[in-house]
Amino acid sequence: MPSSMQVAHVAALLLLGLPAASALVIGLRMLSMRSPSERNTASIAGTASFLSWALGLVLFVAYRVHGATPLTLAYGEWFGVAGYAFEVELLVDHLSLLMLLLSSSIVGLVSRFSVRYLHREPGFHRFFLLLSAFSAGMSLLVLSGSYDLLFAGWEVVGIASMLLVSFFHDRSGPVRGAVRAMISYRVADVGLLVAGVLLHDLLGSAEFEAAFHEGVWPHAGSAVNANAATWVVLALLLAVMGKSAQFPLSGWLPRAMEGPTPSSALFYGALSVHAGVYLLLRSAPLIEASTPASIAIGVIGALSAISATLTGRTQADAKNILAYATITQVGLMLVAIALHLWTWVLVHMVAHACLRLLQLLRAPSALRDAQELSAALRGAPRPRPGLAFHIVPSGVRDRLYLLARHRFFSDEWLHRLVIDPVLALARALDRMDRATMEGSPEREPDLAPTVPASLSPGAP
Amino acid sequence: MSLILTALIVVLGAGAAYVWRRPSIMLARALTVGTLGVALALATHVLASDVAATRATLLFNDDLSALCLPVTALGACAVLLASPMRELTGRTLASVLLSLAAAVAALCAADLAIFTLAWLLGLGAIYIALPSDDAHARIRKGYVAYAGLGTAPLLLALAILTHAHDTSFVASPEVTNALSTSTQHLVFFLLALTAAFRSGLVPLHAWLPTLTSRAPVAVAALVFGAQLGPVLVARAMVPLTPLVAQSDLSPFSTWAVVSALYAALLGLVQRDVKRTLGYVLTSQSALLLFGMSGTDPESMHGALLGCIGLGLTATGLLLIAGALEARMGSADVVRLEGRGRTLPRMAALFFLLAAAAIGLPGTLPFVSEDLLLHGLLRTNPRGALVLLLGTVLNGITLLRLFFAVFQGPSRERESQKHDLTPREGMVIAGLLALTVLAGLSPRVLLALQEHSVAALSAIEHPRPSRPE
Repeated sequence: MPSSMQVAHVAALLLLGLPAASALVIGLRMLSMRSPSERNTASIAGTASFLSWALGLVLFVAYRVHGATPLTLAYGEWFGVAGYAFEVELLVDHLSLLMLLLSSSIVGLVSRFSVRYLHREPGFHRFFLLLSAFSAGMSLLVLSGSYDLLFAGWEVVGIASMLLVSFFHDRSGPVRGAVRAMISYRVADVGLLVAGVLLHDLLGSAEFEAAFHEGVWPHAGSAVNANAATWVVLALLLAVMGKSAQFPLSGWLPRAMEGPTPSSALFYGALSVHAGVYLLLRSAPLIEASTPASIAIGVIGALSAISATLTGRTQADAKNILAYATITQVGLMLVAIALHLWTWVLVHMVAHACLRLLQLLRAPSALRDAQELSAALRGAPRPRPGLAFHIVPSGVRDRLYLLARHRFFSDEWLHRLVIDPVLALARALDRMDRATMEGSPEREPDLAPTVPASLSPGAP
Repeated sequence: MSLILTALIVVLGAGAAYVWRRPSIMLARALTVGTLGVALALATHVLASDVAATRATLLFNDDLSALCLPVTALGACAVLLASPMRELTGRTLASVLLSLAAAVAALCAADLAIFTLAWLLGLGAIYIALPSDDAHARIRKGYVAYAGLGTAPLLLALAILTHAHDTSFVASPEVTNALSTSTQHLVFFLLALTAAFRSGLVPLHAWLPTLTSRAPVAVAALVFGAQLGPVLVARAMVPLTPLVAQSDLSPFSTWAVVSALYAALLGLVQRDVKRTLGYVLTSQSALLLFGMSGTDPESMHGALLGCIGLGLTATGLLLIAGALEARMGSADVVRLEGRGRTLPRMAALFFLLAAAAIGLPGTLPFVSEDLLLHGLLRTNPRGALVLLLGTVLNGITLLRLFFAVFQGPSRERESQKHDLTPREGMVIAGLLALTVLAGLSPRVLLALQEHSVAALSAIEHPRPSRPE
């Protein structure tokens, strides 16, 4: 009879492999067949997501049989040279199991929902391919036993997310949204990479086992001193700001709502946006070791929550309102992380993921309900002012409204301080380059397509 | 082995002369496939034998060339199989075969004199691929000027070494140490200028993006496929100047990483697909030179793997750019917007290759970047941060190029364009598959390059002599 460890080894491997294989098969069918059947594609993706969920349960049982102590599943070395090795190691504990069961359940539900929702949509197969890739990436992210491997899952999730934002690629809005998301991800992901390398430098390994002292999460201690922990957590915070759309990198999330409703619900309501929270939860011992890093997390979370809740109140679009509400809630989770309220954050995250998933999946029919209500009442009901309307002086209220309407001018500042100077410099250098080789220092008439249009102040 | 390599170079040269006068794609393809076979056989031989014992003749095959030669030959096969047919004129075919012959000679040269001859042959091969009409006269003159700036230092270094001692790359330590320190500084500087020209370091870079946008993709792909800059560092700059290499590599690596950032920055504002690729690939070449000049084994391993990864992804991306230009009649991003609907296979392969080129986990460039970063962040943290910035900018440029060309509404009326042909698709997908396979199991490649890295590390970090 195989031991719980052996069962967990095989189950975890299959759990990662099945969605990846599903994505590969759907992709090959798309490339090789003129019109693959929707039914087959849905069956492949659906079966993979169901089996992943079932394997998650198997892992849970194996974990319980093992005495509810963390299982470290080692699969050997991916590559290595003298002094450095990239180990493939998975970690099954109550945090990763909770996230795994949550994510596999939600992926299964969204997969089932999308079969009808996207029926006869031109990108039907592409959606399920990306859903399977996301599922594999998310499982890798939550099960990884090191920051190195977590980065691999993190990247896969980011790429699937970016491509689903531009799902309706015949329109310019979704494509601009995808470019914006991609730029935010690329900049922020550097943080996770640097954190992993810093840990390698400090400890010779980026595995969680090495980074945290003996003890079960979240009660383990940090293996690095406070100063080092500060730098590592700050690097992680940069990655979180991108993936979880926190201030000032939050501008991509409302624009990402241009994707199909199921993917918006899955990525920006339920799972992807919480990947950053999971990363910080996983790094709890390091955060506890560093007061400056805790303060930084709290400040970023509070700024995000305040700016997003105010901006959300000036939006006229249901999905945008939900997007800003998500940023607000994730910001509040970061504040709770800064206060080291780990269980609180965990409950908040699970509850928020489920609620926001429901709200976003309901958003199209809620709009119809609102229209019917409006027709029945012969006009939309007037919104009732909240408490803030009565207690905030009107002058302050007007200023806050102006700031919120312009998203706190964050895009304008980004343009003025970073994008415009960088592009101006690049154009000047480009003219110089052309003059040396081609002898015609002509000015390019229009560089609009290469400039990230999504960053223009007037972009939605 | 020397005989086989010499025969291969002669056959390729003769083939080039023949196809220039009487264009024959089949002959050119047969010669490149034959070269690939020989390269693979030699690589197998190196794997099975004691590498260090074969270093004596003018041409030799060690682990470094065993690693790079098959990739270069594979790139030549790929471009002759999948380049747009209208680009494969007699001049282009001759240029590809001559470039391949030059790459074989340069990668297998055991002596700076042989390397210099190969270098000159390679420069000539590129020149004949440039457009010969009057409208492009300025570009040809510009190329000659840049090539002159890159080659004169090499000739001068050769003259100094010839006058002073043996020019063999594998000269005994007594011979190389006999050179005075100031002479070694001078030789290092001259060779650094040559490597800088080949890898596109500022200000010797402008020819590379122009070549990428104006020359046939077959030739551009071979230029990026055969990474002679890092090879020059490994073969000549470090072994021939052992007393000064460690100190001189530091400013050289700064130069390389700043150049990488410069090219990445310029890639952001291009509006031509091929020129954009030219800047991104130039930036990546400079990053490899930066890694090669790092003083730790991890970054050297990363740079050598990066040479292979860049060779594979650059060839694939340039082939798609060429196919796109051949179908649409333009490589202008504005005119190409929204092509994903009519060219889905091209879009899918471009995206996957671009994602691989910027280090998608599971691909060879990911392994390369991981090793580079781990090595450099320890030994040169500031440089590593600039490297990170460069890779971020390159990633943004490549992915934005995908969105600009293949996504969004089309500005022109939808017209039926042919997607990749099965042969083009197979070749490009094959390059992608190799990038993934090598990325999933890079240990064979790492083991293969272990000797070269160990030898370089030994020169850069000589063991301190024991106190009497």
